[in-house]
Amino acid sequence: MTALLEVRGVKKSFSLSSGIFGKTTGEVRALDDVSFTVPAGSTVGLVGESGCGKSTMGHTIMGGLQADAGEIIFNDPELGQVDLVKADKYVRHKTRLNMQMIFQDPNSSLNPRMTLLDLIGEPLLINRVLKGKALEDRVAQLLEQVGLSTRYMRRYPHALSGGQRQRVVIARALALNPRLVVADEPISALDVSIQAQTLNLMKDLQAERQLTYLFVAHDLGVVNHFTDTTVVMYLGRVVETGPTKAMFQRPLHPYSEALIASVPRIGAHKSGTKRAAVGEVPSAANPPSGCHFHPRCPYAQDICRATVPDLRTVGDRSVRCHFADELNLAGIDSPAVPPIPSVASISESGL
Amino acid sequence: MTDIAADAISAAPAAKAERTTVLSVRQLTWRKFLRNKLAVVGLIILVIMYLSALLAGFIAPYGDRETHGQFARQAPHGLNFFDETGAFHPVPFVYGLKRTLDPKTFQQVTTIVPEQKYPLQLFVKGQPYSILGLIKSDIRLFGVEAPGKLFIFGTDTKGRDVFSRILYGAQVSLTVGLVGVALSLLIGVSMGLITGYFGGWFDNVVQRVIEMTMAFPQIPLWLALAALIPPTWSSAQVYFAISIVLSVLTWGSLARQVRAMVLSLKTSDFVRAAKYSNASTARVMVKHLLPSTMSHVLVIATLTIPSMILGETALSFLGLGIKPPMTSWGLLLNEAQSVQVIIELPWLLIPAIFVVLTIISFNFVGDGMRDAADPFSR
Repeated sequence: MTALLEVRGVKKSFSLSSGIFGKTTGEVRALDDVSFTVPAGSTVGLVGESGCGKSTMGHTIMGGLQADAGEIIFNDPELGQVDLVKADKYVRHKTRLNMQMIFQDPNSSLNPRMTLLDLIGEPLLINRVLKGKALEDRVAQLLEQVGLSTRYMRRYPHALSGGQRQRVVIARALALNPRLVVADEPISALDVSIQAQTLNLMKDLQAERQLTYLFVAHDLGVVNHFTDTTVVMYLGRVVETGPTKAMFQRPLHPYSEALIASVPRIGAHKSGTKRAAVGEVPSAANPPSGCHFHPRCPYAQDICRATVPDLRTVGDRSVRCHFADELNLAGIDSPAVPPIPSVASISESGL
Repeated sequence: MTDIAADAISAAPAAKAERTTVLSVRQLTWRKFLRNKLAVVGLIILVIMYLSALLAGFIAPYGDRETHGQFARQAPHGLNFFDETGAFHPVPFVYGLKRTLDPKTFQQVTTIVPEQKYPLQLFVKGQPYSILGLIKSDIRLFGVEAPGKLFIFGTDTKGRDVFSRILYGAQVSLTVGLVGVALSLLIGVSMGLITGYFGGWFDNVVQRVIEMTMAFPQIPLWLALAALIPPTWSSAQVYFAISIVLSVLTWGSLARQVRAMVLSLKTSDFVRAAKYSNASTARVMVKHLLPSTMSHVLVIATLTIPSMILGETALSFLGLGIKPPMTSWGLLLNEAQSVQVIIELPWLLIPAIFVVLTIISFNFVGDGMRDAADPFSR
C-alpha cells in the first residue's frame, strides 16, 4: 500500500501575547514533531484527549493553519507527490479537490441560510466542475448515496435532524470525489443511536469509492472498530502509532494503556479503571519537562522527568517511551490486573 | 416553529413528505414577527404614513405652498355632522368663515357663518400636483367647494393649511432617515466586513476614526457639518447633504457590530468548510458572512431610522437642515419656536405628534424584528 499522506516532523506553535502592545509572553506548542503515515485506502485514527493537537493537525493538513516546520506530503493523482507545507495557492487549490473535511458539529458547519442544493453543490460550483441542471443531478445522486431523499434538496438544514445534517456534511465532503477525507470527530456531536448509522455510512462509502480516512476522535471504542491504524497524541506529540488491533491488544505506551482502560464497558465495574490516567492534562503552554506524560504516568522514573524519549520503532509500531520494551501493559481484552505497585509513588510526587 | 421543523423531519414517509411545505428562514422570521402584535401595529402605522407621504398631493386638500392669506392663524376648523339646530347631516360639512377686525384689540377675529354650509366632497378639483413626477393630476381626495375652506389642523402664520403641510413634510422627514440609513448601511457594512475579516493596521485606523466620531458631541458636530452646506445649493442637494451628515455619525456603530459578528463568524465551521472548498475571499464574504449578519444589520438599521428622523427634525428646527420652500416636520416645528406662538397657535405643534408616532412605530417594528431575527431561538 502506498502512502496517500505522509506527515513528517510537523511543528506548529501559537504565540500567547498580552498587553496593549501584544508582547509575546509565551507559546503553545500545539504540534511538536508530529509524524505519521496514512496509507491509501485505509482508515487512520488520530486519538488523544482534548487539547492534544489532533484537530490542529487536521486543519493544518487542510491548509486552514500553516505549519511552522516539517513536511506534509500528499500523493496527488495529478500533481504527484507535493509538500502541502510549502504549497503555493495553485497547488493548494488543486490538492483540495482531492481532500475534504467532515466537521464535528453539523449544526455549525452548514450555513443555515443555504439550501441543501447550495450547500452540497457549493464545492462543485466554486471549482467550476458542474453547474445548472448537471449540478442538480449530481447533488441528487449524492443525497441518495448518503441515504437522504432527493426531495430534501431545496430544504434548509434546520428542517433536518442532527443525523441527517451530518449526512449532508458527508455528501458535501464527497461532492468533489476526494481521495482523502479528514473526519474531525464526525460523530461526537450526534446521538448514540445515530453514531453507528453514520459510521456504517462512512464505511460503505469507503468501500464504494476507495476513500482514505484520517479519523480524528477521542472515543477509543469507535477508533477500535473503525480504524486500521491508530496514532495516539499527547500534548502535541505522537506517543504511539501502530495497527489498531495490535495496539488495543497490547499497548506499548502507558498513555495508550490509560486511554484504552478508560473506555467504558458494560459490566465492567472495577476492572480497568485503576489504570485510567490520573490527574488533568497539563497546560500546553507550560508542558512538563522530559516525557510530557510523566506526571500522570504510574511507571515514571527519574529519566522520564529529565529526558524527552524519541519515537522508536518497535516492529510495525513506533512508541515514544523509555521503557516500551520493559513494560507489560494491559490492553482491551486483558483480565483485571492487580493494582499497580507504583501507585504510591504518584501520590508522593504531589498530584 | 418547532412543530414545523418536527413536521419536516417526521415527513420521511413519501406520501406525507409531498404535502409538507418547507419554510425558508425568511418565512420563519416573518411568522415570528407577526406574533408580536405591537410590532405589527407599528408596521401598519408606518405603511399608512409612507403611503400618505407618497400620495401627499392626492390626499392633502391643498398644496404645500398654497396660502389662504385672509385666513392666516386660523384655528383647526373641523367637520360637523350636526348643524346649529341639531339636525343630522349624513355628509359632514364645514361652516363658512368670516374674518373681521376687532375694533377694541385690532386683532383678526374669525366668526362662523351658520348660513354657509359646505358639504365634504370626494375627488374635488384643487391645485395641480404630481406623484413622483410620474402621475400628474389636479383631482384631490377630498375637499370642500370654494369659497369654503377645510383646515383640519388649522393654518400657520402665513395662512397655509397645516394638515396638507404635514403630509408634504412627511415626504422629506420620513425618507431622509431611509436615505441616511441606506448610506450608513453601505459604509458601515462594507467597513465592518473588511475590518473584521482582514484586521491589521486598516482595522486599527478605522476603529480609531469610529471612536473619534463617537466621542464627538453629536449636535455640535451635526451643526458644524450642516453649516458647511453652501446656501446656494438647491433643495434636493441640501436634502442629500443632510442625509450624509446624519449618516456620518451612525455608520461607525454599525461597522463595529458587523465587525464583531464577522470576527466570530470567520472562524466558524461553515466558513472554514467554504474555504476548504477553495471558496474565494469575496465569495466567503458575500455568500457566507454577509447573509449571516444581515438580519442583525436590518434590526439595527430599523432602530437607527428614528434617531435619523429626530436628527433631521432637530437640524431643521434649528434652521440648519431642510430649507424652504421644501417642507419637513422639523421645519414646521421651527415655526413654533417662540412661547408666544405656542400660546396663540398651539396647533402648530401638531407635527410633533406625527414625529412621536413615527419614532414609536419604528421602535416597535425594530423590537419585533430583533425578536424575529433569529427564528430558531424561542
